[in-house]
Amino acid sequence: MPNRPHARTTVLPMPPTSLTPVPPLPTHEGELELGALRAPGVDLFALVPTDPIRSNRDLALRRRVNTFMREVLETVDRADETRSRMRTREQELRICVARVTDQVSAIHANIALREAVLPLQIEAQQEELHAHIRALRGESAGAIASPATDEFERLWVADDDLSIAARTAVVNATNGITQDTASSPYNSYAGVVFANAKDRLRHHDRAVRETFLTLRSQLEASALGDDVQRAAARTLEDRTQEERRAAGLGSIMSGLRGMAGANGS
Amino acid sequence: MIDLLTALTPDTIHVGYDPDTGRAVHVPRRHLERGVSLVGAVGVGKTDLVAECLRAMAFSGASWCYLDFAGSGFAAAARFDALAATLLGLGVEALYADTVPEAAGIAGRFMRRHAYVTVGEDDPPVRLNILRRLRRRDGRRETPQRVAGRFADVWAVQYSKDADIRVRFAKWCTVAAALLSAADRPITEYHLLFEDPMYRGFLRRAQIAAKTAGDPFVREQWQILDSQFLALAKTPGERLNRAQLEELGSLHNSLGPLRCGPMAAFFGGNENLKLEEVAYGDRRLYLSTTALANIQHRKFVHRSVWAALDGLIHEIGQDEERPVGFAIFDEVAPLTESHFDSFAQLRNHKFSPWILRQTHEAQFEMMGMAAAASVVEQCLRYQIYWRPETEAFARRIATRGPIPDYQEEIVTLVSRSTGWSRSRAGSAAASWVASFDPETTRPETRSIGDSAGEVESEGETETEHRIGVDEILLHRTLGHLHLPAYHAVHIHEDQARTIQHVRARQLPRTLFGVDHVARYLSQVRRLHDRDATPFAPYDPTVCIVPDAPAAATPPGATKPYQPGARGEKATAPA
Repeated sequence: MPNRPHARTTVLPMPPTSLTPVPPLPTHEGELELGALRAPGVDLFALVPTDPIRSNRDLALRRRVNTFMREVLETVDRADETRSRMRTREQELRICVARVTDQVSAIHANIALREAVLPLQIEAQQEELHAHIRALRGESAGAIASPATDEFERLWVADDDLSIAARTAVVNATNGITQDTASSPYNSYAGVVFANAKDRLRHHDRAVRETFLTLRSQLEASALGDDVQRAAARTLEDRTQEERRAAGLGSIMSGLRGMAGANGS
Repeated sequence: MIDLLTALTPDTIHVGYDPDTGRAVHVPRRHLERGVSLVGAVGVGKTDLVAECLRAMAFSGASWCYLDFAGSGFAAAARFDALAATLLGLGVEALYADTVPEAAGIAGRFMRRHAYVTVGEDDPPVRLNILRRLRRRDGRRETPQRVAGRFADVWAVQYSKDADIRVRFAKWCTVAAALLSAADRPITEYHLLFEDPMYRGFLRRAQIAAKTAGDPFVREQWQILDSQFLALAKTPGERLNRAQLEELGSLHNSLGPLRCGPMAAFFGGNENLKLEEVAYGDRRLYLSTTALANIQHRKFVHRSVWAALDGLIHEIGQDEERPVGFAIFDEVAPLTESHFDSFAQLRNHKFSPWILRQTHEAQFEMMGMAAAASVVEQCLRYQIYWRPETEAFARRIATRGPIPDYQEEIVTLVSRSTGWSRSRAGSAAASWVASFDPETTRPETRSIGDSAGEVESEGETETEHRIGVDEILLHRTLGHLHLPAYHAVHIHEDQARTIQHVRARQLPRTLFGVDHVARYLSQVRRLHDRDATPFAPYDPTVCIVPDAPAAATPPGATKPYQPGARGEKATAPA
C-alpha cells in the first residue's frame, strides 16, 4: 500500500463492453415462390388436355387430372404459408439469441468490473479505517504510512544500541524465545507485543515491523521499566497457560471420547 | 470452566452392524430418550447393550438409576467405572492438573457421581433412609402423609391378597411411617413407638423441632395410636397385653426385617446417598439385591427405592433444561401397576424408562398382569426384540415392520409352452368326442395323433404375479423366528430393522495383579461416607433433654455440650 498511489485517485480500467449486433435478415432471392405455379407463364392448366370427352375413359381421366391439379395447388399454397411462418419464427429466434448473448456479455463485464474494482475498494476502506483508528489514538496520519517503512528499513539495519536491543528482542520473539536473558532483557515484552500484533494484523512481516518500531520507540523514550517487564512476563505466562489449557482440554476430551466408545458426539 | 464430566454427550450411539451391508448402525440418542423396551432370552445380550449405551453416556450430564434384579449389569458397570476412574486419575488428573484447572480432582468427582449397592450385605456401601422426607424440586420437603403413603403402598402391593391383614397392617404401617418420618427418625425404631412411652415423648419433641407437630395428618395418627392401641392397655405402665399384640402381629411380621439385618442397614437412618441428587442432579445409582435371601424382600427394596425416586422425578417439568435421565429396570419381577402408571408419564419429566425382560408376555402373565405387555409396548417408544419366543409374537413383530410396497410385490413371470394351438386342440378333441357318439356311425375313425407333429406350436407368455401381503409377512415372521445369535430387531416409530449387535467391551477385574474394581468400590464407599447425613441413634440413657426449651443463649455464647446432636441438628432437642 505505501508504494501505491491512494486508491481513490486510481483510474479504474473499464472492461471492454459492447452490444452484439443483430445479424441482418436473410434475403430469399434465389428461391422460387411456389405460388408462381399459378403464373400465366407456367400455367399448369395449360398442360391439361382440352380435347373433347369422347368416352367414359376420357371422362374418368379428366376427372383424375382435375383432382390432381387441385391437390397440387392446395399443397403449394400450404407450403408457401408454412415457409413464410418459418421465416418469421427464424427472425424471432435470431433476435432472442442476440438478446441473450447481450445479457451474458453484460454479466461478464459486470464481473470483470467488480474483480477489478473490489480489491481497490477494500484497500481504500482499510486505509480509511486505519486513518480513523490513528485519529482516535491521536497519532498523525502520516507517521505510520509511507515514512514508517523507510524508518523501519533504516533502523532495522542500524547498529546503535537501541536498534540492536530491539532487533534482538524481536528476532527472539519471532523464534519463540520469550524468556528474558541478561544479553537480551526485552524478550518477554517483545513477545507480548509481537503476539498481539500478529493476532491483530494476521501478517508476519507487518507484525515484525510494528513490534520493532514500537519497541525501538519505547526504548528510546526509556518507557520499559521493571513494572512493564513484569506485566509483560505475567501476560505471557497467562497466554501460555491458556494455550496449554486448550491443548490439554482437547486431548482430555478425545481421551474421554475413546473411553465412551465409537459413538458420534 | 467447563465440567469435563458432563461435556461429552453423544448424539448417536453405536449399537452394531447392519447384517446385510455390514455398515455400522448408530442409533440417535433421542430415540432412546422416550423409553426402551428390551425383550430377549437369557444371555442374548440385553444387559450388554444397556451397558454399552450407558458407557457411551458416561461423561454426559445424564443421571440414571439402574435397578438390577439380575445382577450382571451391576458388575459390568462397576468394571467400566473402575477402569474409567483409574484412567481419569492416572491419565488426566496426574498429567493435566497443573495446566488444565478443570482436571483437578476429576477422578474423585467421577467416583462421587456413582453409587453401587448390593442390598443384603451386612454393611452396605450406600444407604438410604426410606422414611426421610425428601426435598422436592421447589425446596420444600415432603409431607409425612406422602412418605407414609408411598411406604404403605409398597406393602399394600405385597399383601394385596389378604384383606384382613391389609386393613390392620395398613393402619399401623401408616401410623408408624407418618410419626417416624415427621420426627425424622428411621424405620428401624418403629417398635419403640408402640412399646416405649419414653420414645413417644422423644418423638413428640423431635416433631416439634422438625416443625411437623402441627401437621393435621400427624395429629390424626397420634390420635389413632392413642385411641386404638394405647387405650387397649388396662393400666398405664403395663407391658403390651394380648389385644395389643394381636393388633401389631401383621406389622411385626412385615416390618420385622427392617428392625435389624441387611435391610435395616440399608434403609436405616445412617443415610449417605440422597435420591434428590439422582433425580435432579447427575448421580448414577446402581442397585442390586442379589445378596438378599428372600425374594419378597428383594422386590420390596426395588419398589420402595423406585417409589421414592418416582415421586421426585414427577416434579421435573417438561420444559426444563436438563439432560434426559434413565431409569433402567433389569428384569420385571418387582414391577407393579403403579410402575406402569409412571412409565406413561416419565418422558414428560425428563426421564426415560428402560425395561429389560426375557419374554414379551409370559413373565407379565405369571405376575398376574397380562395386559402389561401391551402397556409397555404403548408407552415405551423404542423396542428391541431378540429371537421372539412364539411364532404368534414373531408375526406381530413382522407386522410392525415397514408397510409392503405394492410396486415391489409384483413379479413378472415369463412362461414358455410348447404344444398344440388352441384351435387345433379344439378340433381334435371335437372329433375325438364325436367318435364316442353311438348314433353317428362312422366307418373309419381317424386317430387324433395323425397330424400332431405338423400343428405343434410354441408360445411365450408374460404374466404378472402379485405376492400376497400374507406371504411377505410370513417370510418376515420366519426371518424373525430364526434370527441368528446377537441379532435383534429394533422398532422405532414403526420402522423395523435388524441389527447385529456388537459385544460389550469385556473389561478386566484386575489391573497389574490388583483387584482394582474392589478397591474402586471401597473408595467410592469412603467418598460417600464422607458426607453422610449425621445420625444419632435413640439412646435414652444418655440423651436427657428437658421438655421446656432452654433459655435463649446470647449470640456468640458457647453452646452447652449435647451428645448426639451434631452439625445442623445442634438446635434440635435430640
